[in-house]
Amino acid sequence: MSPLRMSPGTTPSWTPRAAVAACALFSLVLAACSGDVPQGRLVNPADVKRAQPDKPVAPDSGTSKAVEEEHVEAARLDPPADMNDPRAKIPAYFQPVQVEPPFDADCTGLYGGTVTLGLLGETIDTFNPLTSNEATSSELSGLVFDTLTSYDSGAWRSRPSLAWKWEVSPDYLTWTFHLRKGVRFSDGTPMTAKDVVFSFEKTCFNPKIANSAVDGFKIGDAPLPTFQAVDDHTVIAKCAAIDALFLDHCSGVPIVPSARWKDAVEGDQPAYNSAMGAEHPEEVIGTGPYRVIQYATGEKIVYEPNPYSWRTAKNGQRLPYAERIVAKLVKDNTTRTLQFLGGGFDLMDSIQVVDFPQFSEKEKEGWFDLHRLGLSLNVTWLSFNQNPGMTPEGKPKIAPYRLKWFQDERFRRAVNHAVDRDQLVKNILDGRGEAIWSDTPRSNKSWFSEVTRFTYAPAKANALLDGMGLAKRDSDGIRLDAEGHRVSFDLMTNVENPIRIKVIAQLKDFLAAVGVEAQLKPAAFQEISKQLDDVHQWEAMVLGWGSAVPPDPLNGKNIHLSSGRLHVWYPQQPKPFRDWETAADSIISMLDRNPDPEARRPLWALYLQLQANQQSTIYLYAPNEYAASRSRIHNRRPSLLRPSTWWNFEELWTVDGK
Amino acid sequence: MLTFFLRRLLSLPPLLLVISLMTYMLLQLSPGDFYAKLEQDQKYGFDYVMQLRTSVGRVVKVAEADRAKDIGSFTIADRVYSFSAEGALLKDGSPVDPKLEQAWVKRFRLPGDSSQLWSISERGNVYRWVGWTRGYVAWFGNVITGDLGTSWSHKAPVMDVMLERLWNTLKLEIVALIIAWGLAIPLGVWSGVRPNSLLDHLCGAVAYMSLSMPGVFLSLLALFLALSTGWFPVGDMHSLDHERMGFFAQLTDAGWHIILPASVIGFTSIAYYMRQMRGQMVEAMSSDYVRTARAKGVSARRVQFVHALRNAINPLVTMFGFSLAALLSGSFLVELIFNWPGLAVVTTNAVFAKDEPLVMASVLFSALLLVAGNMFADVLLAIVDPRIRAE
Repeated sequence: MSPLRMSPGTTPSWTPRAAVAACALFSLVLAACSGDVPQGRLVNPADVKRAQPDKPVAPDSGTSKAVEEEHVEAARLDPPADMNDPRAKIPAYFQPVQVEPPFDADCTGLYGGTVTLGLLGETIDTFNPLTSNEATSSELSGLVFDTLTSYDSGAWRSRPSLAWKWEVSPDYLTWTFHLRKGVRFSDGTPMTAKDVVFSFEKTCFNPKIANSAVDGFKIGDAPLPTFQAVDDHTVIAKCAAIDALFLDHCSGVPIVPSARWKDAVEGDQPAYNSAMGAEHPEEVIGTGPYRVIQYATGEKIVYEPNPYSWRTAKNGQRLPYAERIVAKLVKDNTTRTLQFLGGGFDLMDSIQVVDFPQFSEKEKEGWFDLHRLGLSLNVTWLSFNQNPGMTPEGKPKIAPYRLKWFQDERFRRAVNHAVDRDQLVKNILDGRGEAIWSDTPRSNKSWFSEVTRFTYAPAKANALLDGMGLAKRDSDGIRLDAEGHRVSFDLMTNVENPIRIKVIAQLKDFLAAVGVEAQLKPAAFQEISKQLDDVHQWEAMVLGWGSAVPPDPLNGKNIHLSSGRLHVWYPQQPKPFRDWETAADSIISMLDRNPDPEARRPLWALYLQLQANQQSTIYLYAPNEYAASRSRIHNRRPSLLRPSTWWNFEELWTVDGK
Repeated sequence: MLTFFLRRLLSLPPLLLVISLMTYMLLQLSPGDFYAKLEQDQKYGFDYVMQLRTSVGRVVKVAEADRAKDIGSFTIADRVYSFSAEGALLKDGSPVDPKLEQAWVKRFRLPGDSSQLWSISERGNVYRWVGWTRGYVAWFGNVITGDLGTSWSHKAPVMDVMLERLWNTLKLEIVALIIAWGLAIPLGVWSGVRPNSLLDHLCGAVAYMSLSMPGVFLSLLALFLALSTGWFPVGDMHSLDHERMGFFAQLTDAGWHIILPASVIGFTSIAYYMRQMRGQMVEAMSSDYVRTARAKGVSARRVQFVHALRNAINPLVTMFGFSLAALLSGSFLVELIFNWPGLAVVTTNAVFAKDEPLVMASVLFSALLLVAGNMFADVLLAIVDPRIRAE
C-alpha cells in the first residue's frame, strides 16, 4: 500500500492501483495563522522552520493503550558539517552563476556521495510532470523542475522558488511574481519571464495538451488566468475569479525552456504530449537541483547535479550536496522491505503498518532510523448508498425499503454506535492507528477540528433502531422492518486490499450484535469503480481517501460538493438533495473564494461538524505513518506529507561520502 | 517435412485471429478500462480523462455542429435531452449546465441503438464510445501494417517496451532452462536406470519438494536466505553502481544476481522433467530391444545412452517445445519478487491495468512463441527419431 496516494491500498504492486481520489485537508499556503476558532479545538498550524511535530494529543480513546506507546518523530536536527573538511569545498562541476537574490537554505553539508531512494513501482510513464498520471513520476519531477513557488513539506506552507517574492492585489485577482535573476536551465540557457509565460500559456493552458494541472485554474465558468511578462524578471498573472489556492495551482506547473519546446506545442497534435518520454532523459531540461543522466527500464533512474543549479545555502555552499541520486524502482513491497533491511538503499517512504515490528526490531542495530510520523492523512470510511435515482430500465437503484433505512439519520447513527472503532484499530492495525470521526485526522495540523463523536454504545444503537420501527427480530436475531424485510444489506470493498477485507468482516460482527446483517461482497477495484461511478447500485461500501499535497480541503472538492463525482453516498446531485448539503456546498464555495486563512479554518470546522452530524460517510480509522532512512544520510527532515524522507533532497548529504 | 511446416504456418493466421479477437473481446467486456482508475481520482476531471481516451481512440469526440444530427433527442429518467444548432445541451428544450446533468448523461445509450454508448462531459463535450468490433478492426488494420500501437501505461511504442525487456527475461529463462534441463535429464536417466536405488529415492524426494513448493514461497525463501546470509543480493538484476564497474566486474555482478532467481525458476520445473525422464527410462530399459542389445553383448553404458535414451527422450523433446512457449510469461512471480526488470512483469501488469495495445501485443507474441516452440520441438524430434522423419 502506498499511503499518501489514494489507491485501493493494495499490497502487491501489480494489482490495479486504485486511485480513489485524494481528499485531505489544509492549505499550508494560507495556514500561517493561528486563530481562536469557535468550533472545537484546532491544533496550531505549523509555523516553524523545521519539521516540527504537533504536540501529541492524548487520544480520548483508549486505542493504543494495549500496544507500546508510539511517539511522533521529534525534529531531527543534524549537527552542522565541519566546514574545514576538504569535502565542504564547492566541487568544480558547478558552473559559476550569479543568482539574485540567493536562495539561502538553512543547512550545511559535505559534497559527494550517492543517496538512493527505494520507490514502489515498476516503471515511470514519462519525465514530463505536466502529462504524467503517476504520483511517483510527479514527485520525482521536483528533482529536475522548478515552479514559481514550491511547497515546504517541513513547514507545511508555500515557499519561494523561482519567484523570490510575490504580491497580490487587494481584490486577489492580480498576482505579481518577481523572478530571481541569473537562473539558468540545465542546458545553460537563461531562465526568464518569457519561459514562465510560455510554460503557463503554451503548455499548461494549451487545449491540445491534455493535463490535469489546468483543472485547478478553472474556477466555475470563469476564463483561465492570463500570464504576462512585464520585463525579464516580472510576471503578472490576472485571474478572472478569486482562486484561494492560486499559489498551489501555480506550483503544479513546471517551468520549461521556451526555446527548446516552442515548436513542440504547436499544431493539432503537439509533440509536447509525448516529449520527455522515459526513453529520452536528455530532453528533460529544468532549473532544478538535478538532471537525469540515466533511466534503466524497470531498474532505476540516476540523477546528477545540475551544473547550473542556482540554489545555495546561507553559508554560500552551492546545492545539492549529493553527487548522485539513484531512484530505485522496486516492484513488490515485500522485496522493497527486505532490500531496505539488507541495506540496499537509503530512504524508504510509506512503510506499511504490518511491517512495523520488523523495522522497529531491526532499528535497534542502529544503522537506520524508523520515523514515526504520526497519524496518516489517509482515512478509511464506510458509507451507505442514498442515491434515489432510477436505473436506465426505470427501476430504483436501491430497493425502496433499504433506501428508507439508509436515508434515515437514525440508522447511520445506530451503525456508528454499533461499531467499536478502537477495537477495529486494535484488531486490524495492531493498535497502530487511531479511530477518527471526520475525514480530517488530528495529524492534519492546519485543518483538524473536533467534531461530535458517536462512540461505541450498542445500547444506543439498539434504541435508535427500535425507534425506527425495526424492533421485531427473526429467528436468527436479525431485525425485520414493518413489511417483514430483514435488515440486511451488501457490504462491498475492494478485494485487492487484505486490510479492508478484515475491516468488513469485523463490521459484520459489530452489526450482527445489534441485529443488522451485512453480507460481505468484496469485488475487484474495477467493479467498485464502476459501481461508484456509473451503476450506483451498491448498498454499503468500505473504501478510503488519500491525501494530496498541500492537504487543503479544496483538494477534496469532488468529494465534498454535492455535485462532485466522488460524493459517494449520492454523487453528482443536480441540486443539493438535503438542506445540509446546500449549506455544505456554500461553505465549500466560500472556501474556494476566500484566500484569508483566518476565515477559512472556522469554515472548514463548520463543514466537518455538519458532516459529522449527518454521518453520510462514517469515518472509521487512520493508520500510523512510518518512513525509514539510513543514519549515514544527514539533513533528514522527514514529513508526514508525501514524499516523507526526500522532499528536501538538495540538502541531503552522506556522512561517508559514498 | 516441408509440407508439414507449410501446414503449420498456414494454421497460424486463423489461430492468431481467433486468439486476438477473444482477448480483445474479454478486455472490452469486463468492467472498466485503463483510464477508469483516473476517473476515481479527485485530481483528474472527467473531461481530462475523456481527452486521454480520445487520444488513444477509445472514444470519438463529436463536433458541435454534428451533435443535433448524430444524436437527436433522447430521454433519460423522463428528461428529454437534445442539442441546439451550436451543439449546446438542452433539457426539455431549454439550455442546461451539463455539469449538473452528469448523473444522467455521463454515460447513456440511445433508445434506438442499445449497442452504442455515449458520454457528455462536465464541460458539455460529447463523446461516442468506440465499440469492440470497430476497435478490433482498427487495431487489426494497424497490426497488418506492422504497427502494434503505443502502450498506454508506458507512453511508448509497444514494440520498444517489449524489446527492451525481452533480453532481460530471456537471460533469466535461458539460465533457468540450463539449470532445469541440465539437472533433470542426467538425474532422470540415472534414477531410471537404477530404479529404487538410494539416488532414485533422493531424486524422488527432491521432485516432491519441487512440485509441492509454490514458486512465490520459494522466491521469498530465497530472498530471506540472501538477506540473512549476505551470500547473494536481495533481488535486482544489477548492483546500483553496475555502470561504474569494469567489464569483468560487470559480468560477475550480473552472474551473482542471476543465480538465485534462475535457480528458483529452474527448481520449480525440475520435477516434471526429471520424473518424466525417469518414467520413460524405466519403460525403455525393460523393453525387448534393450534385452536383445544386452544379449548381443553391447556395453551397459551404450545400451543406456544410445539405445534406451534415444527412445525415451521423445516426450521430453515435446515438453521442451512447450517450455519455450512459457518462456516469456512463466516467470511473472519470480520477476516480481526478485525485482527483475523483465517482460513477464510488464505484460502481466498490462493485463491488470488493461493497457490494451500492450496486452494484445503480448498475446500475439505468446501465441507465436507457442507455435514456434512446437515447430522447434518437431524439428528436434525429427532429428532424434528417424521414424518421425520417415513419416
